[in-house]
Amino acid sequence: GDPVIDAAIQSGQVGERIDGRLGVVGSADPAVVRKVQEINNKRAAKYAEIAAQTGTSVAQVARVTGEKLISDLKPGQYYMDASGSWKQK
Amino acid sequence: CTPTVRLEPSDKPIKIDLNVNITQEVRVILDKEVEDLIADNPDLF
Amino acid sequence: MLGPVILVLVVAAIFWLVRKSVAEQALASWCEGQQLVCEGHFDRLGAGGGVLSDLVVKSGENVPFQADEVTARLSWDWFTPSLTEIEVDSPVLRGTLDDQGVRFHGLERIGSGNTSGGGAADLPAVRITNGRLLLETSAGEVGASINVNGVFPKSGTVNVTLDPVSLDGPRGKIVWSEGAVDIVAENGRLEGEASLDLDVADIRGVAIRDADLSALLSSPIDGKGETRIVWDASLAKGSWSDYSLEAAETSGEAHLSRLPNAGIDAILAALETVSAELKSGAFRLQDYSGASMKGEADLKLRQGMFSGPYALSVADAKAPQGTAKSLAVTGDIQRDKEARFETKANFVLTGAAASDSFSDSVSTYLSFPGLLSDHGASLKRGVRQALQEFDVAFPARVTRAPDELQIVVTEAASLSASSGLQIKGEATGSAPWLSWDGAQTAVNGHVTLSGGGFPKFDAILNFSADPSGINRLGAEALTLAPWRAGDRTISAKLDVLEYQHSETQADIIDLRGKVGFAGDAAGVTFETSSLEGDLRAEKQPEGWQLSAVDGTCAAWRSQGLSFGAIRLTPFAANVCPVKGVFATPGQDGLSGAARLGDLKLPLELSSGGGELVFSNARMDWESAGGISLSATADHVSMPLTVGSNTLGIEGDKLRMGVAARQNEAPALSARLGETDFSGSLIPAKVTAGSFSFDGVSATGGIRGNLEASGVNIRDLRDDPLYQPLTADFTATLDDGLLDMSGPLRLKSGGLTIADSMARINIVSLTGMAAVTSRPLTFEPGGLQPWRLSDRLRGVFTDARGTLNASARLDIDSGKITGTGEVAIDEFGFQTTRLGRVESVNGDVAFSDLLDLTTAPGQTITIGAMNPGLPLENGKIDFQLISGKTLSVESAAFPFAGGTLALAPFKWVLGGEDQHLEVTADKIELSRLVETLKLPDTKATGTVSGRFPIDVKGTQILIRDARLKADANGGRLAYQGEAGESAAGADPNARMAFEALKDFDFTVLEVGLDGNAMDRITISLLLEGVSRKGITYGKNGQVLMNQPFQFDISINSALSELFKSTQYYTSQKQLTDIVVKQVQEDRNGEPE
Repeated sequence: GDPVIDAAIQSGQVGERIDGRLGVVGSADPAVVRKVQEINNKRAAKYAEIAAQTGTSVAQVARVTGEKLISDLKPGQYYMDASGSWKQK
Repeated sequence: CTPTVRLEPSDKPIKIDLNVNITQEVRVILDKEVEDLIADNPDLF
Repeated sequence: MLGPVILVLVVAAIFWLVRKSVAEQALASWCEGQQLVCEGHFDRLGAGGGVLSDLVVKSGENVPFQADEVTARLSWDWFTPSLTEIEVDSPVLRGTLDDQGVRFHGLERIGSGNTSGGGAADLPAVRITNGRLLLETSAGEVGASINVNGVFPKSGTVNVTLDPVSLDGPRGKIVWSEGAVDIVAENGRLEGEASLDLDVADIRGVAIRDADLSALLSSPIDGKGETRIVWDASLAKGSWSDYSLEAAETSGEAHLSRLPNAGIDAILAALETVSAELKSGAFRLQDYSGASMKGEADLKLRQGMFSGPYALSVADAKAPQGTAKSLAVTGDIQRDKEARFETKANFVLTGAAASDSFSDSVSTYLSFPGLLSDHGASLKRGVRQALQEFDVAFPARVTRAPDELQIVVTEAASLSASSGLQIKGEATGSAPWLSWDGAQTAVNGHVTLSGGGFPKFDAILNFSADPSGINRLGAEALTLAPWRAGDRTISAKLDVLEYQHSETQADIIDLRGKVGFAGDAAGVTFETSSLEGDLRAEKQPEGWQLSAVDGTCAAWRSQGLSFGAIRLTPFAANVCPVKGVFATPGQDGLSGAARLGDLKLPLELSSGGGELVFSNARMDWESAGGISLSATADHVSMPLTVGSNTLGIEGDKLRMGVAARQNEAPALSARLGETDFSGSLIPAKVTAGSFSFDGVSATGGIRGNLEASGVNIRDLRDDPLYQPLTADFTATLDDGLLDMSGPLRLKSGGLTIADSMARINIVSLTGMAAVTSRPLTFEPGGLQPWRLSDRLRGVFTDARGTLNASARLDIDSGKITGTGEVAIDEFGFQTTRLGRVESVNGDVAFSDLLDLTTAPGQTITIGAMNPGLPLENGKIDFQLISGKTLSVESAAFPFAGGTLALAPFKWVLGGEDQHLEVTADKIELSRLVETLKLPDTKATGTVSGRFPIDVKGTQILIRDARLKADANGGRLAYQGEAGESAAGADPNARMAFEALKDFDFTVLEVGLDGNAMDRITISLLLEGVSRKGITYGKNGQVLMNQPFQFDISINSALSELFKSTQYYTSQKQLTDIVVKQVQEDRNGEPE
């Protein structure tokens, strides 16, 4: 993945969210926030593509991806579950 | 069973509550697409 | 001259006459022996004596002696008679008086000639009564009466009384009123007293008026031996040849070895000591004269040599060299065998004034070359002015010989002029302080000079010069206080100065110490500056070479120097020669090089200042046609203040050139390698690969062309506004006005994105700048907005389309405000919430560009976007505030025949939550069905309504939207098979779907609630009548025009509804339809 984001993930600034988006845990400097935003934009485009292909909704594709990504997380990495609060694997 | 209403043509409207719930179990469909998506875009996931 | 000497002769003559016992014959024959003719006859000649009468002694036709009666008495001593007494009555003695003194036509030879025999002891007593002395002078005959009585030399008296004389002949004039000579002889000594009262004397060039003389004489009777003369004389006026005296008085005492005859040489030869005093009024001695003088001297003489102390004071002295109110000389004088006079005396002159010729001769040396010509002129003027009225005192030794004159001021001298000039000199070594021999002048010793318009000068000098010029100027411990002349000031503090001039070798000047200078030189204005070192200047064919003794560096200190608009304020530097030489002469002037090492120059510009810090600086310069100087340095840093701002320039490999030219502003050029610009003047981190300036430094300010290439610009902010840019700028600078332009490129990739220009007065920091973008075409994988500014990352992702922007910045004394326009053409980008925003167009005007704030009422059109609901051809009027808040004034999208409009709202970019108020207006159901792609459904009529949307994260939550059908209702028909399957399962459902096959509604309310991006509940409230009959009940009764009230809610993934894909059309989608309750609103009789 992107070095900035990987670093942010390692340092626990960024984590995966159940809704298939990357999220900022607490605060991070603007460049990281924008990178997260950019990645979410790109993911949204991919989700829309798949949603269109599969007749599903963007949110559903996002959700399934989110769940998958969270399950693949290494211990100690952050994720936000359906409750909306950040947890650590 | 559900009650049926006898109805003569009358000026009173027949009230019908109709709930349509469209759900679709997409999990199965998406699993493969999502895996491919993650694999194909390492810079995003 | 008139001395009493005549007397002695007379006595001797008479003696001879008497002693000759033989009568006239012996007398006559004796006389012939003396070339004299004697006549006379003896009246009586007895043993005891005799009487000679009518004695006449002739010499030629002159009668030197004549007497009526001469009686002589003899005494015999056995057989040798001795004359015991002579008595002469009224004799007449004739002689001449001239510059050889008194002569008696040869008679005097007797007296002085053979004095054999008559020893002093046996002189007879003599008595002359009323004798007459007649002396022929060039002015005529002088008479005197003479009386003698006594036994010479034992005792006796002689009295001569001059007759008043008034002679006025062709050859002169003499007038005297009184004169007398009294001589007393006593035990072998003559004591004479003479006095003369001369009124007029004009004889052979000698003119005397009112002279009184009185003299005392004491000498042995025979004149040979210790003689003493005391005199006292006064003179009203006297002159001879080119000497003259007035109101003179003299007195004194002389000791002689013998009584000389009247000749000067004789007198001189006899003189042993003289102690005399002379006072006079106006006097002249050849070309020296004075109003009055007083002299006294005590001299010892021997064979023409003499020596002894003397004192002389003269008032209003005049001499070829000049005049003086008073001249006083005290010292001693001597004259040696070779007639060399030498006097060691103390000279004091007051109120002196040098003659022009003398002051010219003094000031011939005082002209200095080129740069110091003003000083030379001022020194000459000062010296000449000083020499017009000064006092001077100095001990000197003056040696005057026939062919030699030498003046040596031995120990010290001091001169103070009314102009204020003071000169003091004192010998330090063995050599005299000043010596001058008419040609060679030498000064050796301590000289201090000050006042009279001159600074204090103090030095130990060894100076020698001859009329051809200076041949040695050595100085130690020389200090010269700041000396201003013209508009230059020099000063010096030297340990050693040595100038050798010789015909054979080249002239050399060695100089160790500090030389100060201020003023203009070669186009550069130096404030008080000094150079201290061990320097040598050597004259070469083309000029002077300046080098450093054993290669040492010189220390340069300066209060500042300026050329044109640049002023370097106080700075110091070590100037090190290259290969030992500072400057070498060439055909067209001096040139040289110096290593300056690390140098810090405080710099003052007409608008600020700062410092120039050179490292390893080296300077080359030449002076052909005005100084031109090129300096190199490994590194230079210039922290400057410009107005109230700061500008820092750091550069490598500096090459700087300055050329001061005749009546043109100095040319200035600078080259720098890697350069770094910083400071508040540069709102970014700016570096340049190379920087150059060529121009002039005029007094009005620096003017010229600048070039900066390979410029890197990086926004210094923590969160940079723009990505690093590169540029190449060319600019002109004129009196503070910088006119700059150049293309801007993205540092990474090098794409030229804009052209920039600026016109700023860097002094007042007022001006404008403009950046005009090139047409920017964005495409995924190519140019992307984040490549312009990272702040756009995540805002416009995977952008496409073209953008043209232009910015105009106004700078008002440092405060930057800017406006800008951005024209967007077919611009699309990916977002998270609005899906892909497509073909955005519009011109956005930024009223405050730096704050990223636009003017209100900006309008853009959006081709398409999908915030859960596919919207197209929208128009948004908005204002972007501080780049963070989008204040949407109006946003409307045509939708399904009507419009969806958002009430004004403020969208915080990047914010998570947002509340929106949406107004749906006249949404045509027929278009809605089409848009929602509801299968087998037709509908007519329009609905409107307002509903809030809350955007939370990715959710777009429609909060219970209620869209009401407009007054005239509409028609709805669903033919879909979904109805059949539901109908099959539930009679009510069947009836419902049958009614919906063609339903005229008067009331339709569409409700939306839920997350548009996910599950949403659409509710339909329908009141109306089914157009078709409704089969109903077990026995298929058909109801016509039956009013129905439907409350349908569809819960589905809205986005799925909008998809027309094969998945969607499969019936599976609609399996779960539940008809919750059918209720007849009749009189409530459920079956």
